[in-house]
Amino acid sequence: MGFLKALAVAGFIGLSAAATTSAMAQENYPSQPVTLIITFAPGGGNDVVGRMFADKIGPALGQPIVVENRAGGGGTTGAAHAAKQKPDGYTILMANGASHLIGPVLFPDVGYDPVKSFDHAGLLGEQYVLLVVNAKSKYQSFKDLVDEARTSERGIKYGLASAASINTVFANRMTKTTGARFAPVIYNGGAPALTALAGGEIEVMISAYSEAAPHIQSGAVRPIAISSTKRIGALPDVPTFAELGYEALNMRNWYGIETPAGTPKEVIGKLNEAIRKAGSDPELIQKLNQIGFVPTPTTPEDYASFLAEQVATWRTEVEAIKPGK
Amino acid sequence: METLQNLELGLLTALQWHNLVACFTGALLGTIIGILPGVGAAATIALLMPTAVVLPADTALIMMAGIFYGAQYGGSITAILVNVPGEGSSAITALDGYNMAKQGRAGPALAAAAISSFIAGTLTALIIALFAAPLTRVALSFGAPEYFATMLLGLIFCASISGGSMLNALAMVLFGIMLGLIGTDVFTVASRFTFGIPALRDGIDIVTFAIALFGISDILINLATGLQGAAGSRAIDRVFPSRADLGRIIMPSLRGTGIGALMGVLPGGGATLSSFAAYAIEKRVSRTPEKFGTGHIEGVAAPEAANNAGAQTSFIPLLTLGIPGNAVTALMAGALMIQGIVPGPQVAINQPQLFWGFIASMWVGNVILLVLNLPLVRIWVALLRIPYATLVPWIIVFACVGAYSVNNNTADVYMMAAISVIGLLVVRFGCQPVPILLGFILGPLIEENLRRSLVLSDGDFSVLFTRPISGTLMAASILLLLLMAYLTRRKMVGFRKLVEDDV
Repeated sequence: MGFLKALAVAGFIGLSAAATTSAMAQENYPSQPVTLIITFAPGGGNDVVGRMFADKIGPALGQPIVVENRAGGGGTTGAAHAAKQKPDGYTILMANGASHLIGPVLFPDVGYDPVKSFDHAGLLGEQYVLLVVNAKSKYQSFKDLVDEARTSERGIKYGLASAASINTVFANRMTKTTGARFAPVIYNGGAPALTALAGGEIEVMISAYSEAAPHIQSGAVRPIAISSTKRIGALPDVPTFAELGYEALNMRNWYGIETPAGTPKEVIGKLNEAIRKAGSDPELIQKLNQIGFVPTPTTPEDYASFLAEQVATWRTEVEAIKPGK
Repeated sequence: METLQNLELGLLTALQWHNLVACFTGALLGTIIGILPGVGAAATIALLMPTAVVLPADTALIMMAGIFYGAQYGGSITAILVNVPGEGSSAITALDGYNMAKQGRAGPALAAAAISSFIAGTLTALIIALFAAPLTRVALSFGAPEYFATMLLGLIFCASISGGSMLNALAMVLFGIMLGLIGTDVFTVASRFTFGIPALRDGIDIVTFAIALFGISDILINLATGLQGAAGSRAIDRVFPSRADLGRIIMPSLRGTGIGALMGVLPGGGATLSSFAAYAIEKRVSRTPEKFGTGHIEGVAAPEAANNAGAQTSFIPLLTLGIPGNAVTALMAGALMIQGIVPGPQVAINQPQLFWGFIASMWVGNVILLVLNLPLVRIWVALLRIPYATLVPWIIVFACVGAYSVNNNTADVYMMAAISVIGLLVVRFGCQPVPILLGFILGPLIEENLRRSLVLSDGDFSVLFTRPISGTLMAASILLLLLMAYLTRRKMVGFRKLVEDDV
């Protein structure tokens, strides 16, 4: 009896000690640098936005953010890695459409669930799909393009940087909504696709402001319409699809911060606070706007329900771009 | 005149002390990481991103560029000394460089690499200053059919690189193409040859592939056959090249520079492809083609000049169009964007100091590299005195670190191990690994551009022949094939005659 009692006491002490340390760990969070997993190679659009935010989230948290690029599997390799880390808030993930909306549907074996495997700290912001044409093109507006595509026999060819991305889903939506004929020409990345557009191999491309900006500024490429709900600061003269009567083509390419599932609420709260502080920094906003990115701070709860809604509504559309469909 | 003024502004910028320090640091760092197999320029620049972002834009750019071309040279050091190419672009240098080292001529090989890189670097900096705009137009006029025709010509041209049986070489090219096709299909997202292994979805990384196929499998072969084959086992005759060696370096360096400068402008291929092309062309124009692959100094000079020139002109699309053609230039574009500068044609107009300072720094960097590396040749060669058995574990450790650092993924290390075994078997069966690498690099590009050409032409094959550039290149391919067939036939006839005479 004495032995069992002692054991129980020891157990209790142990448990409460564990409880205190973990409570203290949460209170002290962050007491060491935080690793931000970016699921694409350094230098790309994801990486640039991630690093810009990291520079501001770090000081807001009071600890440096170490960026770790784990590229591969169209964003799923890094996300799978992040899902397996300790849920202590020291490993955070930059989630995006590729890792959360597309990858898990295309590859059911990625090893994580975009909603259940993570806790959702907050949205960073969004950028938009931008329809661009070669500067010498006869298409002056989206209407010109749709009219031509309705009557042309083989459809209008457009460039795409990938056969499975947000822009692919957008392209399918565009074909469906307008009822016009469009035919994709797939490139291996944004850079070769834009070179082809600037060189005239293709006349139309579904792109993003962040990648097309240099060509728009040099005059080689002309923006036609953007998928934001209202016009963006960097392109005040470019109409939104909604303005042109295509409400269904509103599409946001969002980025958010996630942690492995089971992260303490306090930690999520602190992260969210830091993200929101960073997202309202005028210097960061100005830099982000320059590449067509708009910060959209949210609460963790709003982000979680937004993400769940996105995952559910995108599934059918992503199924449509699966190989063999 | 304006170019001269611009160059003056550029030199003044590049020679500011903090930019000189950045250039020196970059070149030195680049050389060092180039020596570590697999730890490529891209990985290093990625690690340095946080630092690069706080430096002034011109200083950051100069340092990153220094790392890039420093690594091109550093990569050739290990290729020559231990047959482990530090960069994909120095894989071809290993062919003759390593054989020179085996003959005790590691010093001249290293010096040849340094000198030809310097010649290429200096000329290319000038080419960029003078011809960046017209070269950009060349890059823009290259569509899918042109790429296809170029790559096809390259493959046919290079099929003759490795000596030995033609059938053997072709089989190895095909094997390489199959390995290259592993991964996700660009057009349909279908997984091909991945056997359900998620890690194979991204295909095999070129650096991992080259290290495994050449470096690690060479170690395996040496271990299996005893250590006589290793470079360290021979005495070193001389550290610096003789006057005759120097004379033999010049022309290959100039030709290599021309090829590299042209091919570097094309996105994607750049430095690696140009080193292959330069080697193949050098072998064609040589009066002693049979000496290539046996430790021929021309076989070091040409690809080394080409990869350096290609590395530098690969900045042209970034500077004039804002299009990053490879991983390193993508990183530099990223660093600029984080600093709030959108790379592209307006940079030269709005920030001439940044633009021209960067171009001038390339020349300064090449001077630094030469000054740095010629005296170091002695030290690198001394490395060969380390007993091979001691060196092997280190090479393997660095190779593993290199493979891992490509994507921070252990799967790449396993892939490296598997490919090394394939490399060992290939050599054991009397086949050549070089055509495998060629097929691996060119195969997927040929497929992609052929398919895209056909999508663009609605399935009409004639597009490959009716466009002027691709038509010319296709004609060249066909002529080359006919010539090869004719030569083979004549050899056969001669052989038959010999046999008949005998009978």
